[in-house]
Amino acid sequence: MSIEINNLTVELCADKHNANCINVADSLFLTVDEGEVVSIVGESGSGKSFLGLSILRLNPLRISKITSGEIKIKCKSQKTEIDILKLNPDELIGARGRLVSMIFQDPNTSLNPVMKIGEQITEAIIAHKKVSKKEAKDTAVSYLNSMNIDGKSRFGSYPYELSGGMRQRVMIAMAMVLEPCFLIADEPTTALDVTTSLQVLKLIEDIREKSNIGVIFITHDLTVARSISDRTYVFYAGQVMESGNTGDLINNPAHPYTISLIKSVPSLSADYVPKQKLFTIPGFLTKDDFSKGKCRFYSRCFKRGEECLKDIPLSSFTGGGKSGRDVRCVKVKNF
Amino acid sequence: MGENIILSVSDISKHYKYYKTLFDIRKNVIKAVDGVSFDVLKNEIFAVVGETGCGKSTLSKLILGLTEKTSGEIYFKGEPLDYNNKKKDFRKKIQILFQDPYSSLNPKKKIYKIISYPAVKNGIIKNKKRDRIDFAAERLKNVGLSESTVSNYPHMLSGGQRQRVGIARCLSVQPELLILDEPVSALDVSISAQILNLLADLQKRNGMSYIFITHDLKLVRHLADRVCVMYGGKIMEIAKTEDFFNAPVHPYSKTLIKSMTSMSFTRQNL
Repeated sequence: MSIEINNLTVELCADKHNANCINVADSLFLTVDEGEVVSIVGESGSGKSFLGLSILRLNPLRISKITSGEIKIKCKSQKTEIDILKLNPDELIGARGRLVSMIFQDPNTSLNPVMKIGEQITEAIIAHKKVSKKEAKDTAVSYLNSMNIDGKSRFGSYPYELSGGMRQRVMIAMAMVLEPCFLIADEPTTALDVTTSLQVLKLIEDIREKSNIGVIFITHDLTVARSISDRTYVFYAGQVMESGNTGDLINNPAHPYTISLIKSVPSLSADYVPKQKLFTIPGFLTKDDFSKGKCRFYSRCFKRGEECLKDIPLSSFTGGGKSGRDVRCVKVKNF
Repeated sequence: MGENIILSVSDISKHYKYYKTLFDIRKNVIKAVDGVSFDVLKNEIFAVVGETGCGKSTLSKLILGLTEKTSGEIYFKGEPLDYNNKKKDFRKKIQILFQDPYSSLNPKKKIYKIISYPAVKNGIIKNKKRDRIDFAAERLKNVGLSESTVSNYPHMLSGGQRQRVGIARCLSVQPELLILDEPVSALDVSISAQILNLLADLQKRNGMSYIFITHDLKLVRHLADRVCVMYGGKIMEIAKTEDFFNAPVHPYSKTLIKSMTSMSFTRQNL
């Protein structure tokens, strides 16, 4: 029940003739253990959602391709390790939802508006398992119940009859109904309110505890990452800038990008002074940041220097934290 | 009424009627805003906090006169707020900044037209292309955009730049009260910090009042002077920001503060 991503490179091209390509994921290493929540944090456009799609091989084929790497999944129901990138299309359909499942970002647009929610869930069960309609319905109802939705009365509801939080819980029920080994949650709380997003976070935490599956939690909010994950990867322009134990990383950030991200959010802690000027990262993420031959954060970094104008590897540090920390910055020698 | 008060809302309500079926003769009523009263002071940032559906946006619509109120009264500087009163020009004095910069700018119009339109409508400048471009260029400088942006279309700008254009448009008629309807919730972390700084700056420079509608308590703590918590169309608590965060009184305020994920919030808190 673990996932291991080795040296994954995904190319995204401006047109189908493979010109103007950028690496949205650039030789990426990522591991998630059994029962572990790993969050991926970054700005929009940094390629974090694209990574989620690539793991399921749902990336648009016309304009993108996975050029190298392997995505190995260990699962209880399977005897051997499976490399998702080596599956043929038929096997892949079987794997999606069963091995790896995904909660999509916006529950308002990812549910089918003209289908009852119960039908949408049973559809997934019937497509994957040889069960009767009656059995499938029972499973769907019980899964809805476990998401704190009254399964019996809500089975025949249409998405428009539900609130945003309920829709998101239906999405989670749909993702969990095939008992996958691994879950990818792509910004599940972004479209939600404070109180409802907390409910969704609790639900994901419950799922992790009960079924002990690995979860990749994609978010742009460091505070959400802090509240749910064991380890965090900070993403920028398709590269991991920093990774490590979530608590360590947030209390003691090393990479300039992580530092800037944390500083630019007003905090609720007692020693925070309101009305001060917020720290800002100048400019915004552009296509040029994806170019090779320099640190990708170079154009916006407050610590930049001449030595940053070369390809910078991800180096390991065993600093003050318990677990090792990986940082992609030449300026950070030790901390 | 104190001289310091810029906007005074007294016992205002907005009830929506609806019918469950075509032949329904009962009058079902949703009380979107129900008996709300508060004052906004000069040079103050007044935050309105609450969940989706609590009536925050309806309240802002009522203040802007975009929807008829059911009952109650709104006073602007001691005078009843009536947008049909041509002499008073209330339209010029109260403006709104919308939540989503992607849908609040007309995609067919160039930036200079978008920014100068309120000024032309209100008779501040003449409707001549040269005047409008000059006017827009100056406003753009104030919000930290280059003057050459005037001839661009909205789709050529990023989210943060669009929100700046939105701000420039609000300020083009020099309002005294600005309603900010979740101004940064559609923006990225790093961009939202830039916009928040700009808004705080402009408030100091121009001496405006803000009604800051949001559901993010971190921003409230950062910017606001006073906080008003709404739930189900009613006000639960009005307090100074410091008092609100140090010692919330209403149970709902306590839940809100508790459920805020912050940097010190770990899995044990869930």
